[in-house]
Parts: sequence; C-alpha cells; structure tokens
Amino acid sequence: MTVQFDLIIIGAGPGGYCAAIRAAQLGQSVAIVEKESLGGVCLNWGCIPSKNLIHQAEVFHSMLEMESVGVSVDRSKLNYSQVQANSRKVVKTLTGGVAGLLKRNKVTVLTGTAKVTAKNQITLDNGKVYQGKNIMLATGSRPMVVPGFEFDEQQVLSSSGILAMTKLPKSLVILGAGAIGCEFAYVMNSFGVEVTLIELADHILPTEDFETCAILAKSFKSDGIDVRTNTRATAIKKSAQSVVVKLINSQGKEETIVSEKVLVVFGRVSNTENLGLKDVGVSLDNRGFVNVGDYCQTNIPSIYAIGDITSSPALAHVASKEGEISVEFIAGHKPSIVKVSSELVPSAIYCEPQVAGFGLREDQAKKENIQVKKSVFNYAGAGKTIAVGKPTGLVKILCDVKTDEILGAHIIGHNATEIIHELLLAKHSELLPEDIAEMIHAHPTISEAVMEAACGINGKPIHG
Amino acid sequence: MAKTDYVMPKLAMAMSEGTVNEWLVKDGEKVVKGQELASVETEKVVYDLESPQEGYFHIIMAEGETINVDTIIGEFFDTKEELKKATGATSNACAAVEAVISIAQENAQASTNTQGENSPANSRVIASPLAKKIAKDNHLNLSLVTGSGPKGRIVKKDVLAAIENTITTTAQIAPLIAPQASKIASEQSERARIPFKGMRKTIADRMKQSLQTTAQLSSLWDSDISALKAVRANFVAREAQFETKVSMNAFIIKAMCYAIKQVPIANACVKGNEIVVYNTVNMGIAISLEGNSEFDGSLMVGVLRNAESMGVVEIDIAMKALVSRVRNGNATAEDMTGSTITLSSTAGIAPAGTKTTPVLNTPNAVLIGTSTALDKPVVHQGEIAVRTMMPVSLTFDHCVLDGEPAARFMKALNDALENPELMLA
Repeated sequence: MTVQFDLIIIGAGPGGYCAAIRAAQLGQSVAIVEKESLGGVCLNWGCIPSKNLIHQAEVFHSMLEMESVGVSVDRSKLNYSQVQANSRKVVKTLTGGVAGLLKRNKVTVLTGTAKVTAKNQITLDNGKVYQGKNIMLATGSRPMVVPGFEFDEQQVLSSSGILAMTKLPKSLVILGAGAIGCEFAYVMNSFGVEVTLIELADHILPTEDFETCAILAKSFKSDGIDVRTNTRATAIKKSAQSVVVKLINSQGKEETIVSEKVLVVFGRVSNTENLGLKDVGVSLDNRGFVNVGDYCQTNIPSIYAIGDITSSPALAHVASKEGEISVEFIAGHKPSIVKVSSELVPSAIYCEPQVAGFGLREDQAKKENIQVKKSVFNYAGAGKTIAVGKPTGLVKILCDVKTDEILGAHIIGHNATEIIHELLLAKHSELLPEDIAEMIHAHPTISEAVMEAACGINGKPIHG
Repeated sequence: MAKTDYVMPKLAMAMSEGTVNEWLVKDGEKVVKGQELASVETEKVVYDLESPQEGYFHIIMAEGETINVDTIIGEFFDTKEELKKATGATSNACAAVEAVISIAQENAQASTNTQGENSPANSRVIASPLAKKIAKDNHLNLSLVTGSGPKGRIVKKDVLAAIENTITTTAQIAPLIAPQASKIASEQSERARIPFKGMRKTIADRMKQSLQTTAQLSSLWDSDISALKAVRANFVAREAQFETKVSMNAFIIKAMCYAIKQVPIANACVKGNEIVVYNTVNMGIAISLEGNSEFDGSLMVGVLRNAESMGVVEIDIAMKALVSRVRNGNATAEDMTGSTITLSSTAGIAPAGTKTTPVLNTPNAVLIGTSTALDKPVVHQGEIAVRTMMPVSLTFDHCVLDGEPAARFMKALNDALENPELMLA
C-alpha cells in the first residue's frame, strides 16, 4: 500500500524545509525526505557552523585590542576542539528548531534516500513507495572533486572536512578564493594558522566587485595571509606529515609550498545523480543542472526543482525563495514573481571586513558597455566606524544614467552583510538614491555611509 | 450669438467619458477653426480636438478631469469684450489658466482626503519613485496606468509597458502639420483626409515597427477541413446544449494549441535580449472595429488567456465574450495585453480561397492567418474528390525560430485541422 501526499519534497536543506513549511501553511499535505540531518549542508556543514567559527575567531582576534589598555591576554591556552564543539552545539540547536517547526506544521519527515520512480511517485531505499500529486527536488550540492585533489578529510580537506576538524594545523593552503576559501582563510589565520590563499583568477572573490576585493586582499595581507592570485595548483603530493602543493602562476613560474593540510574549495556540484531523473524523463542541462521554467517547474509538470540543483545562484536564500514561489504556485496561489531574478540576490561573505553586494558590478558594466553613475563613500567618513575601530571599507552604488535606477551596490567593511539590505530594499521596491539620501539616518551609525553614498549619486556627500 | 458652448464630443461609438489631458490653447486665446484645442483621452486612445469654429475660447474643464460626453468643457465668444464680461477675467490669460489649474489641484487634494472618487484622475496614484521618474521623463499620465506591484503599486514594468503601448501616452500627440496644402490648388477631388492620430497612428506605428524590427516571412498552404466541418456540424447541432454555436475559429485555436504542444517555440515572444517561450497559450485574436464614419474603422488584438486549458466550447464562449468586450469598449487590460501567439482570420469576408500574409503582432513570434474556405477538386485517398480546403498561412519571425521548427509547426497544425480527433490529445 502506498501513502499519498499533495507534495513530496526530496531534501531538507534551506530550500526543501522552507518549502515544506510554506506548503503546509497553504493547506497541502507534505512529506519531506532527508537522508542525513534536517537543515542540509547549510545548517549542518556550511553557513551556520562556519558563521559560528567566524564569530569565535573574531572574539579571539579582538582580544588583542585589550593590550592597548594594559590588559595582557594569554591566548596560548586556546582549545580548538572546544571551539569546534561549540559550533556543533549551535548546529544541534538549530536542527532541533527545524524539526520542531516541521512538526508544528504537521510535515511528515521521512528518513532515507529517495528515488523518483514515476511522475507522481518516489521510492525510499527501504523499499517504501509514496505517491505525491507533486514532487519537489531540493537535493542541493556537494563539494566538487577534481582529479588529483581528492579529499581524504585528513590532509586534503573539503569545506565539510575542515568544519569537522578538531585540531588546528600549523599551516594550511587554501585552493580557491571564493566565499568559502576567504572565510576559512580569515578564520584559520585568526586562530594562528599560517594560511596561503591560492586563486586562479586575477582577484580573490572573482564574482565580487574588484574594488571591494582589493581592499579585502590588502586587509588579508596585512593580517599575515599569503594571498596569491593568477596562480594555479597543478598537483599535490602527500607524505606522512605534510602535503606538497605544486603551483604555477600566469607568467609560467613554478613553485612548491609545503603545508600541514590543504583545503580544496574549487566549487560545488549538484546532487542530481541516483535520483531516477533520467528514467522519468526530467531534463538536465549539459552541466548536470535540472532545467526549470517559471515556478521552478521541470519539463514534467508534476515535478519541480529548486536550489543548487538548478542553474540559479547556489545560495541558501535563493533556494528558500524558489521553494516559496514554487509551492505557492502548486497550492494554486499567484506568487508575485515567477522566478528569482539574480540581480536581486545579495551575496554575503563573512570574513572581517565583510563583503556584500548585489546586481551590476563596475567591471561588468564596462564589459557590457552599460553607462552608469557611480558613487563611492569610504567607511572612514562615517564617525561610527572610527569610534569602533573599523574604518576600513566602502559603500559603492551604481545607477542608471537616465533614470537613477539602482543597478548594483557593493559594500566592504564591518557589518556589510547587514547593511546591504537597505540598498537592496531600495532596489527591490524601486526607490531612488534620493529616497535614501533624504531619509534621516541615526547618528552615529555605519548606515550613514549608505546615506552618504546615495547623496553622491546626484550631489555631494557631506563627509566625503 | 455671442456665446457657444463646447462639449466633450463623442469620438467613438463606445465612448462614454473622456479626459482632457492637456489644453493646447490658453484660456481666453483667440482660436481659428481647425486649430487644435485639447488632447483628449478615452479608454482606448488619445485624440486631438479641433476647434469647430473661430472665437475667443474660455476653458471650463480642468486638465486631468474625466467627464461624461456632452458635458460642457469650454465656451466660444465672438469678441474679447464678451469674453471678459462673461468670465470676469483679467486680460492676463495666464493668470486664468493658473487659477483653473489650482482649482483642479484643490479638487484633486480634496478627493484624496475623501479616499478618492471613481475617476482615476482624481485618486491618489501609488507608484514607486522609479516608476514616477520614468513616467515623468516620458510625459506619461500615471493615473491611467494599472499597477502590478504590491497592493496595486505602479512599478517600472507597468510604466514601460504603458509607454510601449503608447495608447496612454500624451506624448504621442503628433504635431499635426496641417499645411495650407488645400490652398495649393489640387487637381484631384478629395473624399477625405484622415490624420495619423489616435488609434490610426497607433496601428500605423505598430505595423511599421513589426516590419522593421523582425525578420518575418510567411508560408501558405491549404488544409482539408472536410472532416473538421463534419465535427463542427455535430457541435452546431447541439447549440442549445452548449449555449453557443461553436465557431470554426474555436477549432482553429484548439488546433493551434495542439501544434504548440508539439513545437513549443511557436508560442514565444521577444523580450529585450531574450526569447521567452511560454507554457500558457494566450491567444491574440485580431478583432476589427467599426468606426463612426466610413474611414475610421480600426483593428485591435484581444487576448484569450490560457487557451491551452480550454475545450472548444469554452474557447468559443470566452472568445465571443472577449470580442464583444473589445468592440463595446469594455475591454480590460487583461483582455488587451500579454498575447503569446496570434490568430488573424478573414474568413467570411475575403473571397473563398484567399491567401493572406498578415503582419506579425509583435512581440509574438508566430501568427496564423486563415481565410474563407473553398470547395475544390483535390486528390483525396487516390481519387479526385471535392473537398473543403481552407487557406492557412504561417507568419513567423526568423529571429526567433528557423524554417525547420516553423515547418514542423505547420505540419502539426495541418495535421490537427485535417484530423480533428487529434485535438483530443
């Protein structure tokens, strides 16, 4: 006998579990299948534990500030296994929270690995069969394995491996300076690990604004991180005590670095295998992403796909939004948008200084020959940043020449990931820079830098 | 007579009220016959009113107000003295205009305070700052735009759509260069001169824009609809039961939906730098409109939404309701926007067997043109037989699809028209 649901969701990450709750709120009977832990990579082995490590790194690092007022701090007794245990505690609190939310909304949680066995049917690895009027795929992604750089999670670590690590290495080479690479470079360096950060592109965080990245690179270097851009790792060789990383830079100069561990963060691949997609005829693109149209519907009308398994930006907040749009459509409501528009998706990188942004970048505007008005305001112009000792940073706004529409904004500096939302709300609701410029901002706040940058679009900031 | 009232004229059969978007003369100005007095907007179009006579013109109706036809909007006086006496105005015409405007503003404010009247011009317009700026830069009257944002807020895309439709822009009042041409002796005897204004201008602009911005071409064939005719006869026989006499067009729309299912690219629009292929079939249907006089008939494309989800009876009922709304001037924005493919039929009007190559209804990539069927001898199942052959044309934008998918679409459509049982698929 099979059990029937309105909606079966495969994968309980931030896309799947949010979709499940929303669907239940809209009156659907919902089952969600998870093979590991509720919350997915984000909550268990990604966003959340890493943010806890970053927080602890910040606290550890900022203790040094006390020395200037005569308090000597002994940081030598750092117990990293306790640091790691703290991060697991946070994860446990939050996975418990997700379980509670699912229960309260009467979502059935099925544990196991699911396979789509018909257009309206899934089968678990225990043989049980479930019918769903609709099926949503939210199976997410995993660290990309590159031949020659396979993870052993002892010496060659993935992002999950480094989060499970309970003892600090003496030295760490990080291959790939995307968001994950930069965040771990900051964390490990703060805890006293010798860090080398390797990036193939010409600047770290290759998908972010070049000016903000230059500031981050400078800050990393002054904190003692060895940052190497235009550099490719060609091979690694493991011995009992260390790993030798072979590098070549864009000029063809070769070099080797010896390090206790290597963190490999080249990117992520979508989990679309072994789901039975081929058998039911769900169409994939040549990179292995599931093809979706409006409302994340696949070519099979009863099957939807959200999050990292589609070609939209691989971010938790994109997956959650896609899940919401999709289930509202499934439940017969009319979502206000049919798909996530990438220009409205914020990026957030949580090292110190933080980097956040959305929409058009300056280099992209140049490349695509888009005329823009630009305004940049330095953090140091806002009194609060000096008061709290965080003067490094800037707010950049790019606007349409004719209409002043905000096309993109980029912030680097203390609390950038929180501050970006004022500008994103403005973009989302079609406010103009003058609306932000005219709004009274509390003094002293870092948000004043946003107001001043907005002033700079059609006039002059006061403190610029 | 010293004074003549001037009323809001009835410019189209369906017109019940109009809005003075802009006075094109100053209060108290001396006007000549044929001079443009005002730009007036109805639900559909913007017209320029021409002065029916000479005289000193006094403005009564403020700009932006919507009033019923035959309501007095101004007065003509034979002399300046009569004007002064009647209006008590100073010789400073500008002051009078300002007074009119300030009254209008007061009215607008008052109506805002009382949560607005029915007239759209009087209610407060909720629009995003960006939408307001783009509207202002393009001289668009926001009170005529329907908002699609949260709580009906007007957002950028609504304004851009309105500008694209041009129907609601006041900016389209083309400067009518009414040359003294008639004075230059003309050899021909003229029957009428129709200015490119209002609906005519919109149609002209859209047709030219279609031909200039797409790579459109047409293919023609005949479909044997003998079997389809018999199927339709069965539906017609049940007219009382279905409460409609199902038309041939309803079957053609159903057949198009079948063909779209086989070749989805035919149901696509060009949007900016992208081709958008739709799941839903919003069938644009070319609808002719009668005018007031011999020469001002026009054409609009009504939109039958979600045709793919309907049976032929439902299509027929919805289509007839749509056509009547469009012809009576009661069409909603939904009725007039968002088509994904178009059907244009001259069946019953054109002579039997006519081949047509209609102009693409941009941004749609495909248009099907049908015309009056003709009974003629053809080879059918190896024998010469008299069959009913319907001329069909496919006009498509080669920028969006190539000959191969276009040919497959034609084949699928022909297949459904010749074998109507396929429409059950």
